[in-house]
Amino acid sequence: MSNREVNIIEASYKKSSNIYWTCWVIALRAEAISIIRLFNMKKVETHSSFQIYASKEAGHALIISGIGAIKSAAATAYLKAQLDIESYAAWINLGIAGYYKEPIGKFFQAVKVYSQERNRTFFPGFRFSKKVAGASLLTLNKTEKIYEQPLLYDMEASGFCEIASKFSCNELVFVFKIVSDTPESSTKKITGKTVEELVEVNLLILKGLLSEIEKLSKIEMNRLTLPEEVFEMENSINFSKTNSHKFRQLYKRWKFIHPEKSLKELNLSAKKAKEIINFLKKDISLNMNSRNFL
Amino acid sequence: MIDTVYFEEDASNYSATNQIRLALPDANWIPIDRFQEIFNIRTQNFRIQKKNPALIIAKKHDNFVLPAPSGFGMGSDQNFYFSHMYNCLYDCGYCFLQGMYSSANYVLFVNYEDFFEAISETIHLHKNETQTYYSGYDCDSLAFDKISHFSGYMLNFFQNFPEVEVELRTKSIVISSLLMRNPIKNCVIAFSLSPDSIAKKLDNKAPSIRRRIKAIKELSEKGWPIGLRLDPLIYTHDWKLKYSDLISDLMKQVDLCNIHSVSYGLLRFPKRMYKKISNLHSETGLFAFPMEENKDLISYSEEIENDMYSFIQKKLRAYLPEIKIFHCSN
Repeated sequence: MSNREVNIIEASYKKSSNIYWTCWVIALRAEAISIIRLFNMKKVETHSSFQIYASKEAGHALIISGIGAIKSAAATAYLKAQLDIESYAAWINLGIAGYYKEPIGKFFQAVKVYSQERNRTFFPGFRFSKKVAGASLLTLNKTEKIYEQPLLYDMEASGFCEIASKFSCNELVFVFKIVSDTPESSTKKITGKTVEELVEVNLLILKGLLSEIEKLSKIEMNRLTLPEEVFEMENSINFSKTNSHKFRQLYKRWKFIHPEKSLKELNLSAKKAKEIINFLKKDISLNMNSRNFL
Repeated sequence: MIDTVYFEEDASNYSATNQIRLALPDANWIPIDRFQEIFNIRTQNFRIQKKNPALIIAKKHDNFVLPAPSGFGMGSDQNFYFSHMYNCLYDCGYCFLQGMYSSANYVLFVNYEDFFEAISETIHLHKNETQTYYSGYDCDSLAFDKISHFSGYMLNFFQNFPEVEVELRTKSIVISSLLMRNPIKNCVIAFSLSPDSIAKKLDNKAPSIRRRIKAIKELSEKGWPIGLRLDPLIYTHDWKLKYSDLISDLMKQVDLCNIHSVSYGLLRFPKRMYKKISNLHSETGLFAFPMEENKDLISYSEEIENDMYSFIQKKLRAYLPEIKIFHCSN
């Protein structure tokens, strides 16, 4: 990205500092507690049995879904609706998982998630292969005890993926798992305390990933959002849907030619939608050669 | 470097797959049922995915050879294209692939023999007409060749059909496999070219124009027929100077006798693709420039079109006979 592009993103970011950039969907409180503490999230009062924690300052929100793919899907949808999450937010399902081999505590990004029950496959997230190992994951509706295939085994990810990818693009939906049980170390040994510790020891890896994820969210935000002055203009003048579309397209071009100008300077408020569109068209055409379009 | 390979289990026993396993031993190999379960899913984001594309190894089942779009040919009665791969290593700002697919992962169809069988049948079906086959419509023909080795198989095949022409379209300078063999007279190596300053801005990850011209020169000296593709023509305020320099430079460096053809065509997109691509690149100047709709294509204004075409034609005619100059319109 050019410096100019970075500046534009940064400017928009500052304006929207009170938004949730990252949404966590986590099955158990023991898996969530380190994340809640890390971002100093506070409990949000809701009218449901789902527990939500959030920090607007940090830009993180978290929901404890309970165990199972259906609960994970429901919690994802509930968090989206409850906090009005933007479509450029990243969604993360973090949790423990079984794996076919040691070591306990190894951190994975699930790059393929399969639900046998629903016969659905998902390929979530931008792959951070340089930072973390990738693996395939099988979501089951009961705890795996045999670990027959070389996979991760969990009980939530497929439900999460199915719903989260409807809210943000697939590349912003992440499944991160920490190995908690293997054929050599059964689920019987897992306690709340060990789960907390497994997450805690992987926080450094997670922080590294979060800084990359935030960059991707910002790129997506820049693509999806328009400056406030566009909405102000549309609210003050009666734009039909077609005219609004034309206006937005022309605005982007006009802004490319005049990055320092604002719509307010043009004194367009007394004009009709069509007049504004024609004005922008003419201005773009007159200034076509005023800057390098590459 | 490719870090993840998704492979259809049906495609795992082809020799191309085995060669790729040797070439990418450290990649994470993940089995899939069909490439469509991961490729071109509606909610995928091309721009983000392009930052780290995976390779998908698949088997193609149909549509091995397709008629080339009208306005694409170079004078043959029949023009066809085939795509052994979807998507490209490069990331050119104007590339239509980003409007065609929502996925930036590379799909490589490894059942090469099935392509050649289908091409054989097509050749036979049109044996009384002149025919040209285009490779590199949905990908770059050579850029992935160190991994796919496709061009070698393809050239061996077309060597047996001297009556038809094949064109490998590329921006790649991976030409060692071509230089090592004798030129095949019915195989045109066609390079996409833009003025250096435009390529620097838009042909991301592709070799520089200087290096492309060097590769053209080497191939031409070896006797390979060369195609020069000035497509898309990109408008800038000083485009005349830029294209004039590029054409002079090319004509000075390449033996004119070995130039099979030169084609040119304006920057243009089907309407739906333009909408999708400009939405992905709303911040870039290329899509901020005013374009117009004409017969379902979005392109520069008629005035710019006429101006650019007449200038380019005039420049090319100074070096080459009319019969070698083609205008691509679709």
